[in-house]
Amino acid sequence: MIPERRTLGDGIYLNLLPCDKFKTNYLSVDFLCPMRERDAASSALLPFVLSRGTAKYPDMTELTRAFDRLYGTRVSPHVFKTGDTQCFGFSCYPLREEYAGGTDVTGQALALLAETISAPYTENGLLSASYTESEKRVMTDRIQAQINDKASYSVLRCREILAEGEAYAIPESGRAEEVAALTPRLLTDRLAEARESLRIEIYAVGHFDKEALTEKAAAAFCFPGRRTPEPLLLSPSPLRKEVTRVTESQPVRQGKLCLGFKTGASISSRDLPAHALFTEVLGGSPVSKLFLNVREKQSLCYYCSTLGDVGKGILMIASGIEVSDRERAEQAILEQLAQCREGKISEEELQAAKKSLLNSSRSLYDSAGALKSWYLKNGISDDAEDPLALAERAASASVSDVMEAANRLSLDTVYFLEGTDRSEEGEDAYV
Amino acid sequence: MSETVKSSLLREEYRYLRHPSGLEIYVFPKELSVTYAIVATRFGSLDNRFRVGAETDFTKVPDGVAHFLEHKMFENADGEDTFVKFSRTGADANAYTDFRTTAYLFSCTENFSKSLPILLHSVFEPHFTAENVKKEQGIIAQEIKMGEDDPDNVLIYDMLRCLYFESSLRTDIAGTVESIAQITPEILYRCHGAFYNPGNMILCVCGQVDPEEVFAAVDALPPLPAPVPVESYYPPEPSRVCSPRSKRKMQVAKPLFCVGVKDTDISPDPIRRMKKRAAFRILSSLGFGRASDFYRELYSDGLISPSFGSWTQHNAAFSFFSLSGDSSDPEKVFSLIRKQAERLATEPIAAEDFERCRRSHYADFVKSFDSTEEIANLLINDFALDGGRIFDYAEVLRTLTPEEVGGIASSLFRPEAFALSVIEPI
Repeated sequence: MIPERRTLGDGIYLNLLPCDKFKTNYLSVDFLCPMRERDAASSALLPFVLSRGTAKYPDMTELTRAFDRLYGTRVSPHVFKTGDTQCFGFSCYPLREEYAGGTDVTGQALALLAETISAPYTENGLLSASYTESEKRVMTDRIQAQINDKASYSVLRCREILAEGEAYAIPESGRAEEVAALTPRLLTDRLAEARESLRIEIYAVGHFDKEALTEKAAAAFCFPGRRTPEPLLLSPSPLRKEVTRVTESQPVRQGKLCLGFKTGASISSRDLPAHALFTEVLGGSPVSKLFLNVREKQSLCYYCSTLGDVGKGILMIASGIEVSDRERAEQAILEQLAQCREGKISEEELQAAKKSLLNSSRSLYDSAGALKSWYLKNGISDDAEDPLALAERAASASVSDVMEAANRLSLDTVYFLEGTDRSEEGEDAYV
Repeated sequence: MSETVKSSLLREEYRYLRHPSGLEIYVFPKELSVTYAIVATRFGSLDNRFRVGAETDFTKVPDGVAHFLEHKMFENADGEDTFVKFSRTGADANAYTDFRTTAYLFSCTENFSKSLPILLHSVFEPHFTAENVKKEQGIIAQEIKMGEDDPDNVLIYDMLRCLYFESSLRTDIAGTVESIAQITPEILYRCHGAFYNPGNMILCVCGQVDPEEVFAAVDALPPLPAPVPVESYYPPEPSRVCSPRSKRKMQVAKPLFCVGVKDTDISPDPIRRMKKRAAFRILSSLGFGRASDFYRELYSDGLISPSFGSWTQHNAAFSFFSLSGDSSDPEKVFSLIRKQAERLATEPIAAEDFERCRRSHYADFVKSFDSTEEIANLLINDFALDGGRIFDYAEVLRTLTPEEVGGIASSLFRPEAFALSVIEPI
């Protein structure tokens, strides 16, 4: 199942994934742009300011109620990055009309979504100063609150160190000081740029009249002065001569160890299946090498798993461990990687990994949101591949393909978040 | 004889069978890619004092034993982990423990017939040894420490410790490093014998599956123990909170707060509990949701952020209403929440607002039927385990009135039922 891609304008695409199995449809609008220091914060803040009000529904209460009346269609603003591309926009799950007393919730939700972009609430031609200030504060708090979740914080830090100096190191929401410098003028200009010259990807998944929806979308996403968007490029994270080791400490009980690896090249479509199979064998499931050995056999951690960005040629292994086990854990993890590099992979492990990949790719078809994310990420390079087709290619890879994939990676960064809280339980500052 | 239960409103149906072994079986056919199977027992972290059959005394077991048992159930006498068995069929298996239940599950897109027996065998055939218990103590200790470093998790338990005097809701589901150190294979066998009895369990399968095949898989199991009633002791709780405040410091960027409202008014009638559950959710969106005046005012004043939200629970064993988020001034938010709650308790609810919230909650409920995982978990946790049928909920929602919700608000929001927990930055 590949989305049917329709061009609505210069760099404006409507991607249709018709299917009949859901009771709710899925709609999303994403603006895509190169990850850049100067734009990151304004792009990230934009959808949040836009969801505060439109010309017709000028505050969050009015706007939320308007969506609520569409059978609780909740619109979530979002921002994320994939490779060197920043994506920001909105998504929602409108109820199908059969369950909504015959109301065309999807068409109306699309119109309201478009309205938040084309007819936002403004004061003297600018986006509201008070909404901007209030969303800046929320965004700054959110950036600062990343420290609250130690597992994701350690991955974030490892990624920053791994890609130091590259666009990839820029946080998806920009940096707190850049957010602080935003003004209603800057945001209004960014909105104009977004409408005029950023690539726009609209996704619709579910049951709808394709032609009627296309017509609605074409009318709603028609921006005067539209220009061809600049291409979205992707450069792999370059290899470095030495391993960078960074240890930071926080008064927490558990240490977080995150190892970052690079291939020095983007993983090509041809090599992708073997790479996917390798990461699955290494850390993708409860029968992966990391889970079975580092967790189950050696009891070193509760979690130990792989994550990465294939476009950047990056793989990370994250785990939560006893602070005193740091070296043992690093050795144990590297030992499992060495096994993959040497091809010490049993037939059973290989088959399990293949089955697991096939299962997760087939499962993707049950989630409209996950499916859209897959195609959006893959579609940036204009070679969208069906998730199942990729898993099927992986299922025909061999141990030597996996070895080759494992050998492409070299250790780049070792990040350790050292927990320094040695207090016993019950010693809480409880009042 | 199995029974077919239908909903014309949702255009869904399922089959129900109480198997001769006592196991309750729900099969929910669904044309989605993933088939999801879950078997749950009424054994959660609250069940740490229990008696079986004719026993007169309650046995006390260490905190965290239900969760510990969950970790050990995927080990088998043949030395092969259940995960490994599932890896051959391509199913993705997992398990979880909460306050009232332990559940084992898998999702698959092929080989369902081979996977179901693996799940069933693994829950009914325990294998505990001193050695494998000791090994698990290390892994779970890391899981507990991870929880202790997670401010959101700490905040919830702080709130629960404020609300409750003696209930085990005060203790982390996983127990403590000290309590799990006391767990032995004997204790695990005793708990398994008491709670993993088919009469105390529910199986639910959702996906492209033939109900008869599921019933036959249960028939094919080796003889299961005869149903024996097991009774847990839950200490009685007064309706007032144990402590109105808690505060601690952690490595967080901004103060986190959680307001808990304790409720001990629990009906023995599952339909009435369902109604109250719906009312809690409607009250939270009506009074405190993004579309409320309350939300806009506090958001505009910088007192709350999008992280502000509610978590409500209402079941046969316990009930509370909670609101949490981050704020530079938790005390002020607390006083405004109390004021808003008082308003909900005393002023009539506008029909238009009520209708908007009901519609939105109905859409959430309908949306749950888009995922086999959600259907199975909702069916088990909110309905089968608590009594009542999943499709009745649509009817409960349809017939709920603003007056009923107002009545629930006035009995819920009593001054002595509120507590505030705060985590401040170090």
